[in-house]
Amino acid sequence: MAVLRRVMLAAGLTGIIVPCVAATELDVVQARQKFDLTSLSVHLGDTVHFLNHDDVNHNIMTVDSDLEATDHGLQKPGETLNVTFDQAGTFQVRCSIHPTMKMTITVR
Amino acid sequence: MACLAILPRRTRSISRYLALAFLYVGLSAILTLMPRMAWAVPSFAIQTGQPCAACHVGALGPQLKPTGRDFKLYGYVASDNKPHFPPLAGLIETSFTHTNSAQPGATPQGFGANDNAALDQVSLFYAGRIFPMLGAFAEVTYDGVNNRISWDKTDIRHSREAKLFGEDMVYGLTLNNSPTVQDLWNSTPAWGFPYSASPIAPRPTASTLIDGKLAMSVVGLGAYTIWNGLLFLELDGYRGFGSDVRNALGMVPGVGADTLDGFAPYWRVALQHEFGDHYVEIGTYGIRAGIYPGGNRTAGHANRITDTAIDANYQWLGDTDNFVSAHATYIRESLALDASRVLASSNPSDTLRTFRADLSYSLDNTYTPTIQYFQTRGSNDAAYWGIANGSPNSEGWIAEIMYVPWGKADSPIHGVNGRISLQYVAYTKFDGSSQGASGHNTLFLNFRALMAFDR
Repeated sequence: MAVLRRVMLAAGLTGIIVPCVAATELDVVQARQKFDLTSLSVHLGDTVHFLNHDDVNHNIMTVDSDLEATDHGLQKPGETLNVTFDQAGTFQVRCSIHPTMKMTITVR
Repeated sequence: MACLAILPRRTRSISRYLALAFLYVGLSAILTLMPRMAWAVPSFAIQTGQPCAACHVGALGPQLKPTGRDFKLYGYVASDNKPHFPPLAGLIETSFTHTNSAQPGATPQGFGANDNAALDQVSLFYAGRIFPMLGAFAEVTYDGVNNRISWDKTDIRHSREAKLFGEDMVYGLTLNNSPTVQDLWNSTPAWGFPYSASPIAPRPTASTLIDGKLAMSVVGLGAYTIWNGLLFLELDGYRGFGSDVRNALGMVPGVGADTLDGFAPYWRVALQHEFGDHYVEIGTYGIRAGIYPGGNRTAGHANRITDTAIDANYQWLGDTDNFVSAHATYIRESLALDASRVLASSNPSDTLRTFRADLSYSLDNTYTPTIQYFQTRGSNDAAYWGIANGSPNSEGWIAEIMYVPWGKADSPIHGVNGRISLQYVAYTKFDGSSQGASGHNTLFLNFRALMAFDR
């Protein structure tokens, strides 16, 4: 019975905790060749939507602390790029076409 | 491109000019119908996947928007990360020049006293990334007026990033062949207005050293940095070439040209900031050089020339399709003529001051009218300037309208760009004289096509 109570307690706690860490979705706007945020903190599994409000292409790159870069491809005007962060760490987000476009995303 | 070989090197009549213009239009049309050989404009646009208008006011260079300045600052390496053909590009430029009065004996050899058509230049560029942090803008030009091939504007850059006092810093090196060709702003001489000028109409005789006199006749290595996107600093050192190198590079005159004495330092400081929709830059630049006039060292001394300049830029960024920009510069030159006073009995010292200011409005990235006021004033010195009345003073206005059909994101034709510009230069004073100055007034009709070869 004690074991069963522990299992039920754990299940109950999980039920409480899971909604707290459920993946959320956040928007970052690209306008006038800038990100509207300079930094953002997200949870593991969260998805960030990069909205290209410019009339030119962008090309989002995420660079981890080991300087490993991931190319998320060309993003045309009006398009939204969705990036899910499934690794903890600090990432620099840049546009390969516009080198002054940069922001930091911390994944916890 | 082979078609160019059959073009007449010099043509004089309007009818032949019109034939040249039709040939230009025909060539452009053929190029646009070659989808497998996508001729584009220029190779920077291919590399970044951006239309010309993303970086250039009026959808065609050289006037830069902030994005264009950043692209240059970071060493011409920004890319859409797609594989591309090496960034080679070509340019063809033709023109027609009419002056208010005929200019017998004052036009280049082989041209008439007035109403001249010309194939101004055909150029080949390497413009873009070489390695991930090394890029270049390098140009070789066939000058159709003087019938020669020479190296042209060149700027090879390497850049890196760092943090200083918690803020972003970009720093790098530039190897270039003309003071200010590496500059980010269109207020300085190498990329300043007018962006094209008649190669045939006579121009005022006197100009400062930094205002093109060293262009392509030196090589310079410099270091630059910009901190927090605000403060730009640069220091370069230039050296001249011997006559053998000048000849090899196609520079005229290869022998008998002014030559640098040793090493000439160049400096640049600029502050920039965006106040909402308003971009503002103020700065200073200059050079100090020893010059042997005509390469003659027999006086035992060189002339010592110091140019100190200030400049300012303004751009309205409120609308990506319509763009207001203004540039101004004032250059003060001090000349200690230790060589010329011995060799040519000039004054022992002179001064020369140049001021220019222009304002342009780019409408729908297609029509760009520009107006400029220019003025040069200085000491009377007939022996040094080579002007009979001794005065280097000139003054006037330039009005221009430029039409650029393509180079926008919504252009029906991608990969080809060009421009037609009509320019009028009005002199109120020319080489120290107001009388007859208007005879040099120049009407200049210019066609330019730019192409980059991409797979």
